[in-house]
Amino acid sequence: MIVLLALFACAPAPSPVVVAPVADPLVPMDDVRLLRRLSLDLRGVLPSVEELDAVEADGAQVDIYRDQFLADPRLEGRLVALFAEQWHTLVDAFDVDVYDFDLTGEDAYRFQRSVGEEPLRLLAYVATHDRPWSEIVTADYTVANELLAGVWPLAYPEGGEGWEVSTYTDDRPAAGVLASNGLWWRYSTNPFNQNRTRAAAVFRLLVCEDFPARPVSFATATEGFEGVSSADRIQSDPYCLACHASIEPLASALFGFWWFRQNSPTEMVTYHAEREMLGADALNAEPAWFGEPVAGLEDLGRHVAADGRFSECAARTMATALWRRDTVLEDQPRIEALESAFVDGGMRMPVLLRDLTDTPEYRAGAVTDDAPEAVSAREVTVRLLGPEVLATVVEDLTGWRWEHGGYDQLGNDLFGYRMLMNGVDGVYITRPAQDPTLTWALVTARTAEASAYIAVQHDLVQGTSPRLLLQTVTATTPASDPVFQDELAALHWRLLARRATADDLAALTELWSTLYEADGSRETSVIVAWTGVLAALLQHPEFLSY
Amino acid sequence: MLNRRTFLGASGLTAAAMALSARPARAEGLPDRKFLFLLARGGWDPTFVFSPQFDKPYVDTESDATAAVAGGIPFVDSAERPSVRTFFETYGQQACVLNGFEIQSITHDRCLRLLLTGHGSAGVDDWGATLAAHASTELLLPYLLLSGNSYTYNHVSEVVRIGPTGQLPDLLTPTGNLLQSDRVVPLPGAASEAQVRAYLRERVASYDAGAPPGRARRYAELYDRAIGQVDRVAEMADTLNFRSSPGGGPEGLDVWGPLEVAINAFSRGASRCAMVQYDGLWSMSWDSHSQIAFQSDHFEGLFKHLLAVMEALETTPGTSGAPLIDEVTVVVLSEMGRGPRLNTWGGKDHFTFTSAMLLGSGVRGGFSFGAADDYGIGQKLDLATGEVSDSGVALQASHLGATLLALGDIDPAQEIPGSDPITAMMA
Repeated sequence: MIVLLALFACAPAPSPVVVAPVADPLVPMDDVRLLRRLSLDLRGVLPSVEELDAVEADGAQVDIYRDQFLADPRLEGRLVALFAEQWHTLVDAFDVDVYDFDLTGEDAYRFQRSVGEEPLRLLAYVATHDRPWSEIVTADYTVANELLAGVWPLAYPEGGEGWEVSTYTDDRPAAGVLASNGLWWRYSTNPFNQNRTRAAAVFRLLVCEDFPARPVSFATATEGFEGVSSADRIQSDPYCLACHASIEPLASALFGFWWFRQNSPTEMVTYHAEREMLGADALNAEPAWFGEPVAGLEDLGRHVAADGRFSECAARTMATALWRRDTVLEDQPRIEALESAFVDGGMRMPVLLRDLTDTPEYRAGAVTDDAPEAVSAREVTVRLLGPEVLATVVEDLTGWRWEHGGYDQLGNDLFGYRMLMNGVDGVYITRPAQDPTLTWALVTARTAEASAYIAVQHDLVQGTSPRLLLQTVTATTPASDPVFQDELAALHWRLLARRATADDLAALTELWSTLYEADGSRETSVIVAWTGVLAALLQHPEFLSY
Repeated sequence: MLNRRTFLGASGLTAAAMALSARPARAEGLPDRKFLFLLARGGWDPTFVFSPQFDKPYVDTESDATAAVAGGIPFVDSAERPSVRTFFETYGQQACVLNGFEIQSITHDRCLRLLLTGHGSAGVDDWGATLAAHASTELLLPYLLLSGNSYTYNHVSEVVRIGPTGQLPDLLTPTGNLLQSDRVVPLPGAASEAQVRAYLRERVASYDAGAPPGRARRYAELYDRAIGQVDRVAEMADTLNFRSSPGGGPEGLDVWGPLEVAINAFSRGASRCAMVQYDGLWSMSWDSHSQIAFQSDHFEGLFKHLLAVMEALETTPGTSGAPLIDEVTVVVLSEMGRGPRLNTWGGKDHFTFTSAMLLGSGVRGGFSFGAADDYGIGQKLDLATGEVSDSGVALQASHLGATLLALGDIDPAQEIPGSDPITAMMA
């Protein structure tokens, strides 16, 4: 933490990546709303009133806060969520489940998420602890929690709590995420596939080389179908070799994670060094990284890190995450500038994140009237709160997280609502959507209603201190009292990061009065009215977007 | 506020759609054609039903099956699959099979995207979402995704997911009006919710009025639409019977629950498209890298479902009062085929050539188009006649998609330039 704070304490020189062309069609959002965007993206919470006030008074403060957010411990959790959108490891089922490990059904969700988070936690740890990004494929450690330490061969710190740096005790190579159980449990393989799916995942995630995206046609192929198996054809047909000349050698390097028995927990938890050499026989290909022979998984990690595409892929991956869209050809100069600064900065992720949050694409709140249609359609100038951020925002505001039977209801799809809220499950939805849908509106409505209920019960019914959302009114404050209007204005500022206009206050007052009068019970009318007003603000278009 | 329909009109899409020529004329007063997608995920082997290839020297076929014809459709007949024969005897005249089209990938995820969008990239919408977005009336549940995949870019808001275990009804009408939560949280009454939604719509309108160019207007328009949908879907939740969505049906009809919800939504004019995934016998997937014989069981199960679907469509009235079968096209798909030769495990590996079947409204029934060569490779086809022709077109998923769009009164040239519809498949 100290190191990171020091890193950002000095006023950063303008980065070459932030200089926008004179005719840039992107219009920056106002400083206060930008603060809100930064806070949500980097901390997963709304800015405090003090932060809002400070930036309102002096717009230059926004960059100072941004640098503080980059050193905030909550960044680690946000990065886990952002990486999950592209690594797709937070799935609801693996080949084995909680009952294979003497755990109970109550642990099911925690088990699934712990496994899926392991590689993401390692990425986030490297990103937030002043480590070079190359360590994600060279680290001799992983990051694990108590549950994983109980079921996998891990040395977990004595007295540790939650996610901690840990080491596998089965002598697996030092290869960062490439040696993590979580990654290979998500990207499993079988005797027909022989690690090729895993190789494709490595290429996509670490060097942004998406082999499956290339078209494959058998239309002109006839040789080989007489009796040669498809496995043999991909070794000899030049058409197949265009991809498989790279895929097979990488797949061959991953046989330490080969499981003789599918769905066997004992097979899946440990690394099998003695099986490393099986790949060469099974695939008829010696382990290699794009033509360069590799001596095992550890060497593979070094080759990946040394690949020129590795750092560019990091820049592209994070741009996708923070611009909330896929990168396109027109972005290439910006991506290259980001990458260059990233490399010059010692491949430290905070440098990349800082530069990315300086880009016009990140700071845009609108486009100019004469913006090209392609730019207008492409740039996500308004972003939607996704399920992960909504969950952390609500928890920060009310202390409540929507859980049911051990499941985070905004974080799973077995029983919960992650996909219904446009969230990425990694199987059926592989990129976050930025348009409201019926189910998105319904999930946000239920979350808002519950949050409002909890806050009003806490603040007005129980009168517990400190208050959550209603700071000054009581159950007897009439709508005509100036305190009432001040409360509405304060809520508007806190939740929406925009000062309420007279029209805003009038609309809220009218809603409050309508709900109050409709309830018809003196004892409960105020509670019903405030619950409705809070629920409305928590569904306001400016609350749910950023 | 910019209305979605007026937006389409302003963008010229409606005008383009009106200028369509390669589409079957819709009778006056009939509602938009609807589409039920039934996806056999995992990759089926067309040589088990759709594409008899017993005469192909380099294609391994079943030993205890024969080529047959019923309802005008050549198919592979086996005593193990009585539902297949019954289906073609009963509904062959309403079915059109397309063989030998290629999906140019061999990975499941990519093939699914190609099958449903015609593109490998992420920046496009699938057929279901596109059709739903072009509905001539505002729909409550434009594209009802009961299971399976959907790929969206511009038309995200058309897709309504029910959730794998039927989560949507729990959100709409929670038991005892309590949130599904460890903490007891009573939810507001319907009247309060309606007041809040009214406030929100007014605030969204205000937001829209002041929205700068860019994404804000789109956001406002779609949020307003979503709130309106929430209003209406809450009222219709019981009649739409969402709660049966995760359920099975009579013996062997494992995914009858979602199919029934889809048919119900069609009959009430709530949806234009719906998707249901069928994973085969015991949900074991169609991905038969070993024990290819399981394909027979999967197909038997699939056709059991299709028999039930067709019977329901014939006996359920649509919004026009006529049976739904006059309004609904059933699209039966799988994302890939299986290679011509058995592998060493007695299964077949991924193959780019596959088949599909259309049923019902707008379909030229009693025909099977497309052919394979001695190696199982699909042959070029004349799109107008359906005849195999060297001067024809090498069929891909985009041609099938263009056909669906044309059936849906959408100009394919606007959505997937360069891919013409297979007019031979259209009535």
